[in-house]
Amino acid sequence: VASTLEVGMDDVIFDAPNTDMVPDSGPTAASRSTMVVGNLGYRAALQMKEKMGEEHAEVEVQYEHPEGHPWDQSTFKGDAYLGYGWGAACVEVEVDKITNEVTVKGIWTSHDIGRPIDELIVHGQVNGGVMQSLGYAAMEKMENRKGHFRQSSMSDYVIPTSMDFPKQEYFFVDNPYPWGPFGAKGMGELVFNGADAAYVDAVERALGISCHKIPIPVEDIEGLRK
Amino acid sequence: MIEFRLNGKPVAFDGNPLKRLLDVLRDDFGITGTKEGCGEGECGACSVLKDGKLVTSCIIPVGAVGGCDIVTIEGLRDTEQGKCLVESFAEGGAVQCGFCIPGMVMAAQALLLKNPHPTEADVRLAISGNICRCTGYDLIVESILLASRKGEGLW
Repeated sequence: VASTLEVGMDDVIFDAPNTDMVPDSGPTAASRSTMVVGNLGYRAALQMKEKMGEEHAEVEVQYEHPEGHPWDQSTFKGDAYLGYGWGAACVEVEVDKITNEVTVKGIWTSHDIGRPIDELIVHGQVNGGVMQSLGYAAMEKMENRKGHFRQSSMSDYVIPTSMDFPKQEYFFVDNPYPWGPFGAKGMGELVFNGADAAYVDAVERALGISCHKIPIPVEDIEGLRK
Repeated sequence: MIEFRLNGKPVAFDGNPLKRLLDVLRDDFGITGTKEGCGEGECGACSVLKDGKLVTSCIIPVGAVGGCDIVTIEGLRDTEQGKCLVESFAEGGAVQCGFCIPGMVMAAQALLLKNPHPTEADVRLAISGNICRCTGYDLIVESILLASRKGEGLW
């Protein structure tokens, strides 16, 4: 809104969300708030911009369902999801054939999220999601025995540190989504997908083995080689 | 009575010497910048400086800090070094949820005190005791390198 109106962020005031005031708009999932609410804010700001000369102006916009995506709320039939994020991940590994230790030499990802609204924040999210994905593939063993997690503390549920993986290369595909604010789509969950599969695939190729489970922590690799 | 220096000021704690330093800082001195992430000394969210050394306050009994110089994020951020770090973290996009950040800043300070011109590898080692789940570390590392460049002469 601030960007469209060309004012400072501090000049835009909004009430903290409160379910006493707003109707039930469904779950906060799949970044629908970014796309739907963000776009409403953008459209309202565009209308407000025409009126910036006036003393006082009020603008109200309604959600308009994009054409070509039929959805029937009473029968739950049609196109439930209008926009998809896409991504690709590439991981290069080196495996010590005596100790089975895996060193990740390079990580490359690309994502189509329409257009990032705040590239710095999104960069951090990509790094975080990719790292969580790699941790899931490489070390985050979690076993369940009779309803109890065997790895249930920071000491034994191992997640990546700053030294476990190298700096990531990433880029965004510029593919603005017509119904998202500034062309944005969601991206929170998207970035977890891909790097884990790439890691396992790389280890399979390095050792000439087949893995049918994840994670494949170092201690389990010897068993997979037999 | 356990007497020590907290962020440059002499303080005293008259309670159970086995109480965790983390709890003394948060509950008794009311400074909550130091966080509890795990309570087992593994995640680094509770990091403070004890006589210049980076330690995890969740596994240190307050009795062990008698006569020591304790610096928390609250003490650091008002110094020139602290301001440089805070600005660099903001500019560098280091922060996602923010929970690990006080500990990360303390770790950065501990590093720069010993090594004002670290390499990327030096930085990664220096923050290897601080777990972050949100950022994948890259932008934190870059922010610390940014601070060491911007803060020429501060460390």
